[in-house]
Amino acid sequence: MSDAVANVLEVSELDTSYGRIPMLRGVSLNVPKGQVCCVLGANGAGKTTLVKAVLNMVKADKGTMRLEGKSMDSWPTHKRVESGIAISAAAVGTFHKMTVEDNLKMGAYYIDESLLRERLVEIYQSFPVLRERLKQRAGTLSGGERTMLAIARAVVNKPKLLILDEPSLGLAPIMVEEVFEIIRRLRATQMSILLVEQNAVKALSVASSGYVIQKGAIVFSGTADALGKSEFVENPVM
Amino acid sequence: MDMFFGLAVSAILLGCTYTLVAIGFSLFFGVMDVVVFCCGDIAIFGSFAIMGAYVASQSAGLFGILPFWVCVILLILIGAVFCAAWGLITHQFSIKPFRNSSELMPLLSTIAMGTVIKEVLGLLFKPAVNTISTAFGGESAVTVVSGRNPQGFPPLLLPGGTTNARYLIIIAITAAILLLLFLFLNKTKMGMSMQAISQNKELSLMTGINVSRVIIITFLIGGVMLAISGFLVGSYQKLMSFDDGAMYGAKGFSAAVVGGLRNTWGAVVGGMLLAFVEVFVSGYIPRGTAYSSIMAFVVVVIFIVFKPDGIIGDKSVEKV
Amino acid sequence: MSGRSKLLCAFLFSLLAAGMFIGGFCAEAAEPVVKIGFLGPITGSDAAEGAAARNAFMLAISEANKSGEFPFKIEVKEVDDQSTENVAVAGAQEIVSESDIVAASGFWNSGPAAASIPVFKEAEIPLLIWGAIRESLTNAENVPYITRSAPTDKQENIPLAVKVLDEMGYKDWFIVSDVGSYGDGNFNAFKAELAARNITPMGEERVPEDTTDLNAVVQKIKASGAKAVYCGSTVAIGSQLKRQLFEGGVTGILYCGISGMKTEDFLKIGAESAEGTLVVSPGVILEDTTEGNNFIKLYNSQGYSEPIGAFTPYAYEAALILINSLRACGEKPTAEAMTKAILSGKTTGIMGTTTFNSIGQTENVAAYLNVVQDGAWIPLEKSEYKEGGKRAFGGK
Repeated sequence: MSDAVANVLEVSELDTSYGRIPMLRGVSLNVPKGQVCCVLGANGAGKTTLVKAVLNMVKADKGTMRLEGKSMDSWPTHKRVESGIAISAAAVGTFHKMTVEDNLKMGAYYIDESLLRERLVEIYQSFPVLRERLKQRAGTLSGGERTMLAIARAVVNKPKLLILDEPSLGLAPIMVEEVFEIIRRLRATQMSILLVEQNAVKALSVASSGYVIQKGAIVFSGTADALGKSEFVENPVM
Repeated sequence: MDMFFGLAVSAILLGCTYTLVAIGFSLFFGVMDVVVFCCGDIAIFGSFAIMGAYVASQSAGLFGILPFWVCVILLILIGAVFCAAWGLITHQFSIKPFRNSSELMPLLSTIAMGTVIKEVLGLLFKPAVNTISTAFGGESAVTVVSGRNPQGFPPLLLPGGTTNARYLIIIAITAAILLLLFLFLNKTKMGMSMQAISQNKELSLMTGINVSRVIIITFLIGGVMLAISGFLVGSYQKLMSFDDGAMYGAKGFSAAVVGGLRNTWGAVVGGMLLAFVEVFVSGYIPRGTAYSSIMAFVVVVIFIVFKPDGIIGDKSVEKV
Repeated sequence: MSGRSKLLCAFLFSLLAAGMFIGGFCAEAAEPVVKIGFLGPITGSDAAEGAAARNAFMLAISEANKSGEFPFKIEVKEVDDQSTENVAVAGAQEIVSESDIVAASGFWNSGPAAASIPVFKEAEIPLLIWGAIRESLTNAENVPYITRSAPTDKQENIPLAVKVLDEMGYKDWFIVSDVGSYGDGNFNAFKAELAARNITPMGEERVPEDTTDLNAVVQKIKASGAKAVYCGSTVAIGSQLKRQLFEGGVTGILYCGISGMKTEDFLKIGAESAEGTLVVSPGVILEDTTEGNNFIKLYNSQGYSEPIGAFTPYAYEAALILINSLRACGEKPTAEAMTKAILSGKTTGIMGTTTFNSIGQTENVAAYLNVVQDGAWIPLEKSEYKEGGKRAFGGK
């Protein structure tokens, strides 16, 4: 198997800017197939910009991106999602006026009805808490439930690449534990995951490789072990 | 009691005409976060398009060939095409170019678009045939002089029937449109996407909704709704003026605000409330007609102050 | 200066001189011109009245030019006031700043007329109002510059009141008007007529000018038990009210109103809805006189797209008055001479003989009643509604 196909996502030399202020500078990163790859960074380091650039919600000034070896530079956001990139971003929230069920259905935008029904059954097994809240409006869920919903909405598609943008954001420790348990379960199904986190210890507990991003540039990359021993993780001031 | 009943019927009818325009506002606001101020003008354009198409089909002898109701549906479809086109033009020329500029820009540019629509009607509306004589309803010949004169709307709604039957149909059509809209918004993928965009645009993008396509389709559907509203306004009012759009726009917008701009059903309640206030102030207060619109707008102001989320306001906006 | 540029200069100067000479020559050869201003709502919501009036005014002037009677050509500076005050004022200023302007005629709307009058007074250019009827436009302060050949709203309401109150004897009235200046004038004038006969209306309502839904007013009229409705407004309100009364089942009453309603547009509500509407019209029944008939023939032969409206003959008459005044001013008319000539003149046109009283208001108050019968306006005396005729007004 060639190297290109071994990676679900390849980003190389990516530059973005907000107005005239540069945001990302020369970011290159690979997400290996069937593994969890994490991107660690502090607030404002450029993690969310990176995630949005992968979905073309932030325009890239320069650089190329490939999904399973295919260049997706010209694809608009919806095409990237349709082609198998799913994202769960806790900070973005839910469709608050819709029921939990409808939120899940919106996640499965590109799946037909019968397949959707099967998938929903699987989802309810992995996320029992959502099953109890099916007819409830998403806006009335607790923070932890909303994070669950956001993840469930993203995986209902069975994406080729799942991007989790700060899943532990604002959650109580016990909920954080639960979220990472779900990530472990998803990893067991060979799903390729790009985990973007501030919580380095937690992230490294599930990831096999990782990157550290600082001020819009990748400053370290390597295996989870190497990363765990690096100054970036040991030194809490990132 | 008799008067009360009569006023209530008038209020419901007036409310029907406001409601559909108000829904136009709330649909557009939902997907674009922009108040499209030319909704009223688009609706009036629709009724003029139907009038023009009526004259053309009269002279082409269409009414002799096809059954009456088929012709009526055809005319409404023609109006719908025109309004959908204006909806699209509005989006392409007075909203899309200002997507990244101040929120005030689309406000101004849609007001300008309303003026364009109004003036186009006033300047260009001269139906192909100057004299219409109808084969039904006992209406007399009318001479169209200029688009700026009041125009008689053709008797397309139950021409032989009684006024009450016509009123009933207007209410029934409005109810049917609302039902269809409800089904569309809640049972179809496109409708759900519109709701999704209205609630969370960023998440909609992340979910893979083709947002720009949904926006365009919303403008098309909104245009069709406005055309039907123009048809109903024309059938109710019978005499249309090219500049009626500003009034309907103001009333429709107020209704939408009272109902909560994003809330489609609030627009219905808002439209009805506004109409009831207007009609009852006019009916029960001596010399009150002069103040009925003022009272209606006072209600709007009260709502803006005390219930800015609208009458069926939704408090469950999530905090992250 | 080099020789070459000297040559160029000489060439340029000679060109300039030649131009002056040719220009002077042309001016010498051109026919002398006298200019008259015309203002009216040629576009805008009252375009039907304004454009027809413009046609008639221009027609009278072009006839006068054709006759060869004058040693000069009468030119008309035409201004569209769009029924809007600021547009009218700008137009008035444009007219008074023209050279050779000796007089102007203008206005169907009272608001724009009132706003523009100071401009004419300031410039000392006489203005003859052909169609605006608010009473206060002509007064002792505006004389001699402002005169009016159309009757005032008050003058117009008198013959209507005589007919419906004295002759027909209606007593249970509901009066409606718009809140604009036209509605205001009519409302007060008709109410004064009622008061003079000790009648208190059973209800009264003023409606905003852009109102289209008058069902609440209809319900009110229904509940009041009034037997006659007076509507002192223009066609927009007048026709909607009549239609909604008809559709609301309020048919057994008299519906009457003022000349602003008497347009072809009123008939667009349908023959059935419009039937039996009684309206007072200024002027005379043109068909009854030779001059009137000649005017109708002449107007209709021009192929205008606007039919003759209530005030079209007045615009024509105003032009005739100005032309007659020009006759009194000799070969070189001036604004000053025209001011005097208009005010003191006596013109016999298509609507009788016009003279002006001390405040510049016409003394020729002609008015007649019209009724809608089978979808057309017909003079009352020629209709089936005349006394002893086949049809009768409701409410009796």
